[in-house]
Amino acid sequence: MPITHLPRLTARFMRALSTVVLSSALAAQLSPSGVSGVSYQNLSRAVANWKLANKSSVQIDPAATSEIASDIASRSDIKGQPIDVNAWPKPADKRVDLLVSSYISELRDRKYEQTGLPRGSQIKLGAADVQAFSFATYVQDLHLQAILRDPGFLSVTSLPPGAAIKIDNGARGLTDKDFVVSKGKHSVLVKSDKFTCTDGVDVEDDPVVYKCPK
Amino acid sequence: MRRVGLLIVVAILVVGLVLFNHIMGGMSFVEDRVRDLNNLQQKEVDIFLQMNSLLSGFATFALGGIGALIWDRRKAKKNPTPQLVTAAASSALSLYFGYLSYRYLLWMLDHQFFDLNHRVVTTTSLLQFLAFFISIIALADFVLAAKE
Repeated sequence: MPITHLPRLTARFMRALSTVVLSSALAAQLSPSGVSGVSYQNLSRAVANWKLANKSSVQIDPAATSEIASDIASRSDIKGQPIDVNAWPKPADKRVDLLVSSYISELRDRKYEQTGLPRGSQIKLGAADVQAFSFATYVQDLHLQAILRDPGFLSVTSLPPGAAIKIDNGARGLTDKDFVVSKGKHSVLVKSDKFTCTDGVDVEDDPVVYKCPK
Repeated sequence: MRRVGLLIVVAILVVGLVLFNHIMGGMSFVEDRVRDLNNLQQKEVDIFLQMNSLLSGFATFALGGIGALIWDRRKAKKNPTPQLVTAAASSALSLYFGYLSYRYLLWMLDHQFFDLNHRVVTTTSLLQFLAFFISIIALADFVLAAKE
């Protein structure tokens, strides 16, 4: 393994570790009943703490902060139960900080990936970014990542059949064909003499059928 | 003090194993969907399971032997040597990775795909073998050191 890969592997290791810690904390502390207890002040403080700790070049729009607050206030966990931060053992604030900080870091990383800007460049997180990857989705991802994830199903078809399939840049035979894939985003390319289709598909619980031409 | 050290090592080991499981489970992959296994694939499953149970059997046997050696030393009021501790821990890890690779195979078949070259299976079975190998080396080292 080249030594240059070490920082990337270390970052991946730390990320995995924080995910495990966070998901365990969530699993242990989501209350079976109760009302949401995250105030806007609490959240603003958590966001400010994150900015302070990261000395970041990331600006966070106040609209994004209120979007996160309302998202947390209205969300329930994947078992359909509301999050009751007040029921958490003290100091609950630190746990809010931890969760929110991890969530904003995730938003930041996604923004860098989307824009293609190098890390450390000036970016601004807006309400649209929060809507695109909500806190609820983030928490759900944490839960899912804590266990061996069930894969999803993807069918690739074309008319006429016999077009070459590439998924995630790997050749995968000819249409029509069914695949079992890890959940999440995959790039699909279907190519024949007559047509070419390329798209990113998001595979989740329901089977996805990718047709080409559409 | 030794107890605290041991607890720290066990805690690190548990976190490491949880992380390992987590990273394995989160890997991205694409596989062909299969409805039935053909004869060749069934043979592959048989061979894989034979090797898996063989290594698990050896590791269990080694663990029993190491346990007896440690017990013997305790009766003589001697602490287990680092070689014995390493051998015991490696055997236990080998059993754990063997169990994981078996679970991953079931998970794969359960979700209608089959690829014994899938990273989760190759990695866990390789670790099963390596852990057992380390255990044997440590045990051999202990025996040779005892003879000298």
